[in-house]
Amino acid sequence: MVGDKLELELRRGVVVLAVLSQLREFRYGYELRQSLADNGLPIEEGTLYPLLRRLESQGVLSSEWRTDGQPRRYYRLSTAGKELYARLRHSWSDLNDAVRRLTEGDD
Amino acid sequence: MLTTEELIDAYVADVARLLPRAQRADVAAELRALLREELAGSDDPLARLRAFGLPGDVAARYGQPATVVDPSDGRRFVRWSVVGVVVIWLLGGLAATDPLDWYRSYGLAALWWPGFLVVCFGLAGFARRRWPARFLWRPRKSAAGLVNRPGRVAAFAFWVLGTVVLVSAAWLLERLGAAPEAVRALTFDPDFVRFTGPVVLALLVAELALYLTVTVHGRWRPLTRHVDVALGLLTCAALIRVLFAGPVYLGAAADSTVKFAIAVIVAVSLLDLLLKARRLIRRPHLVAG
Repeated sequence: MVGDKLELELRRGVVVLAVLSQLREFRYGYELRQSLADNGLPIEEGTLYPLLRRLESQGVLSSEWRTDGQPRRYYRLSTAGKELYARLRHSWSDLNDAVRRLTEGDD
Repeated sequence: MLTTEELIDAYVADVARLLPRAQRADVAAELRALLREELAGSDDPLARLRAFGLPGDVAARYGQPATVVDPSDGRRFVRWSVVGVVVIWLLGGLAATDPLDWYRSYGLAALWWPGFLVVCFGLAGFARRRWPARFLWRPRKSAAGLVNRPGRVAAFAFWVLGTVVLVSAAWLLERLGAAPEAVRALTFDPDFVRFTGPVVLALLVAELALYLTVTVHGRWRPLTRHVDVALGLLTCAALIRVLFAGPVYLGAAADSTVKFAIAVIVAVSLLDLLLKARRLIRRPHLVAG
C-alpha cells in the first residue's frame, strides 16, 4: 500500500528525535521501546536496536554494559548528542509550525 | 522443536555472521539480551523472530552495508548485463560450429561480461564516493539534442574515406602493386555487384547524407530522428540479405570475414535502433525540437 509506505517514511523521520528525547538518562533498548510505545510511538525492535548502535557509532549516544543482574547495554545522550537533540527539537518545532500553516483549514 | 533460547541463539548467530568482525561479539551479546526480554513468555517465539526481520536486513540496519554496485547504477547494470550476454550469445550462435561448441565457447563464457561490469561499476562507484567534486553533474550537449560539429565533420570524412576504400578495395590493392591473389580475394562477386551491392551502396550514401544534414543543422530534429530510424531499418534489412544472398567477395576467407563483421554490425545496429525507436515512441517530447 502506498499510503502505508508514505506513513512509514513520515514516522521514520521523527524516530531519531523521539529516541533522543528519551535518553537524557541511561536506558536500555527494551526499556526505551516500552517508553516510546507508552507515549504513542511504537517502534519495531528490528528498527530501534540497530538505530541505537548506529547513533552510538556516530557519537550521538554513549553506552555502557551493566552486569548487576541481567547484563544489559544502557544508552544515553553524549555531549554531542545533547547539542544535536536541541537542534533537532528546534527544527521539529519549525517544521511543525510550517506544516500546520500549510495544512490549516484542510479539515 | 527448538526452545526459545535455541531459537534466539540461531537467530543471533545468523545476524552476527553478517556483521563486521569487530562488531560481532558486542552486538551479538546485546541482541541476545534484548531478544530474551522481547520473547519472554511469548507463545510463538519463531513468529516474533520472523517479525524482527530477516537476519540480513537486521545486520544491514546495524551498519553501512557494503555495496559493490551502487543502487543508483542497479537498473543500468542489469540492462547492460542482459543486453551484453544476449549479444554474445547471438554472435556465438553465428560463429559456433554446433550447440556443444556454442555452449562451451559462448553460452557459459558469456558470463564474463556481467563480472566485468561488476568491476567497472564498482570502480566507478568507489571513484564517485572518493572524489565527489570530480563527479559533479555537467550538462551534456548531446542530451539536449545538440551535436559536436567538429567531431562529426572529422567522423564524416572518416566514413566517406572508409566507404571509398570498401567499394574500391581491389582497385586500390592493384594500384599499390599487391599480389594478384590478394586483389582477387577482395574483388566483389559479379552477382553482388549486379544486385545487392548497389542497394547497399545507395543506403550507405543516404546514411552519410543524413549524417551530414544533422551536422549542418547542429542538432537532431524530429524529422531527422525518424529518418535515422527508417534508414537504419532499411540498411539492416539490406545487410541481412547480404548475409544470406551468396558471396560478397571472390575470396572465401575475405567473404566469411566480412560476413562476420556485417553480422556484428547488424546486431549492434538493431539494438541501437530498438532503443531509438522506443525513445521516439515513449518520449516524443524529449526528441522534439
